[in-house]
Amino acid sequence: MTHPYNLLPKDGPAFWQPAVGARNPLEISDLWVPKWPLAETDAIATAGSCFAQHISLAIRKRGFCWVDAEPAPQGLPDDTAKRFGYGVFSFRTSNIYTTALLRQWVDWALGVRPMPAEVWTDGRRFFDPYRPTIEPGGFATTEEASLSRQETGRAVKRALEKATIFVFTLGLTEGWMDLETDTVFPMCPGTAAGVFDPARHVFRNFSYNSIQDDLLYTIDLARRLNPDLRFLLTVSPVPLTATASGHHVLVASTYSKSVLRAVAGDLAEAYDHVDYFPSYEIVSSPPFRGLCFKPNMREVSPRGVELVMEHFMGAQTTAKPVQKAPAKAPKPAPVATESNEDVVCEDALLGAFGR
Amino acid sequence: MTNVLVLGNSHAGSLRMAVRKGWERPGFAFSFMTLSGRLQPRFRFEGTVAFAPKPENLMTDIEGAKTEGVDISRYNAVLLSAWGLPNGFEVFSGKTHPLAEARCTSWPDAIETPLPPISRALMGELIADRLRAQHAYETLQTLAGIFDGPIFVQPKPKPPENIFHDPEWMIVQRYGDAAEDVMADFVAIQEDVSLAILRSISPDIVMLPFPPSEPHSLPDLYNASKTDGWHKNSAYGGLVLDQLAEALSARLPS
Repeated sequence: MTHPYNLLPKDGPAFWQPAVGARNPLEISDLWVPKWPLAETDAIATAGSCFAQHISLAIRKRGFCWVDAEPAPQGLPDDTAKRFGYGVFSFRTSNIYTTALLRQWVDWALGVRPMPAEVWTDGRRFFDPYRPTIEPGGFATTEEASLSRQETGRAVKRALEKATIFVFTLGLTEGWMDLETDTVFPMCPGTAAGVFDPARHVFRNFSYNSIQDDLLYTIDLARRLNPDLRFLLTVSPVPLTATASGHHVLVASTYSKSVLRAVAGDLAEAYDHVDYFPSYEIVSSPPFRGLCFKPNMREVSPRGVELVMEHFMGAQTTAKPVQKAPAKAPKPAPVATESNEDVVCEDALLGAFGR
Repeated sequence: MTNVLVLGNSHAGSLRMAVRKGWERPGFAFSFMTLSGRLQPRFRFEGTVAFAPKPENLMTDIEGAKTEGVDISRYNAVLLSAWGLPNGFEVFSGKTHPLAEARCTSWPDAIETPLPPISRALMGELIADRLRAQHAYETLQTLAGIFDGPIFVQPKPKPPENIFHDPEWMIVQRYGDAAEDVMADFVAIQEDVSLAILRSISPDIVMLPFPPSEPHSLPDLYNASKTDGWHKNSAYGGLVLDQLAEALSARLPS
């Protein structure tokens, strides 16, 4: 008797025991077959949650063309550039945790919606609500904060125009909105900067439909500007540091990551110009036994990052068109260890507030 | 008598000229240990004795300084002349000057030479990076560790007024009519950054203020010559010495 499973290689990745159960987690392979391999001619833009910074680093280290649409002044020391948000993503948006925030930036960049004039102050310095940590000590004036945000908006547009692949890491479903300006914040007002106003600042736990709508809208808008642009989606494996959902943070994390994973997977299934790289699975799935995490079981360890990037870059060497049949195990490319300490992750600030 | 040692480069020339032309205050005496040409104030120290790395570049009125060095412990105060980034023509053509690398967001777009717009805070970081790379920084660090008396720092003079009418000067080429505002902002940022850096070396180091002037420039009457407005004349040197004398009077026991 034949059935579809009989047609699959018995020792291939379609079967749990040979692909996962019988393997050392470090020897699990073929997790991802890229729809389109990274080519030397590709220009790769990166954005998203803090885990996306590792992808930026890996792409640059391996000599691929990484789009730096808002470069630091040429002579600025690297550590200073990083403190000011240069070279972290393709533009100085800071972390974009939610798809609603990505949509907002692309809307601003392409002139669909005007940027609000909103700037926060502590009475001495000025802060951009949409990038509250981009300037370590804040801006000197309201005007400076606004002009800087406008420059970043132009950089987002430049990146979308130049890139052939946009890597976006989905981070959170939870976010905060300003009812007055109808805008989304990356962080809750009052945490890194600003003052929380319960009459104006509201919590949103974005649903599957809302996230999918935002992503589809953003992808469509970006591809109207640059029809050749493809999107590579990943989901950050970093759990929430705090939740405002009313649920236990572990339960809230599982919900959040599940929704993001489902949206990313469905879009990758539906569109040739969207792909999904399973960084979330490599770090978070049970077969990896938590070995990719630091002892707090939240932050990803340098070895975990290295493992993810081995899968990412290793797959590039054997990338081929989408196919269901298993591919031969690629030999992972050697990668240098990247220190997790170097990643800018503002949501960790929430942990400090919770103590 | 308060004996002041001036460690410096070409900008100390205006101070030396002021003394030679008769500037005087009862109770003050100045000695000069300066390096000629475009050299920054960089000295080698053995204990409390300062040497010029290349004695042939040393211009001094201290007997034996070229061969035996100068024991700074013999002095009541030290003035370093001058501290700051250069403003001249050639420095903006390279990629080593903050004004050649970026502009503040509040400044207009540079004409024909797009520069990344950055915040004033980041411009300050750029300036600080370059100031710390200067030999003057190293010299002050050493001085702070070996000299017990007060240390003063003279800021490098602002650009001359006439340079803002020179179409060849890079700042005018880039910013046109806004050049004065740009330079005034740059001078202000550099002053803030310098104060912070000097405090980090030693809270006892005192930076003298600029003598009365425009925010962006110094009047041409202080130019060293018709062809050199970057260096200053004895009149300007006298103003700096006046400031130093007042600051010293406030610091030293009478």
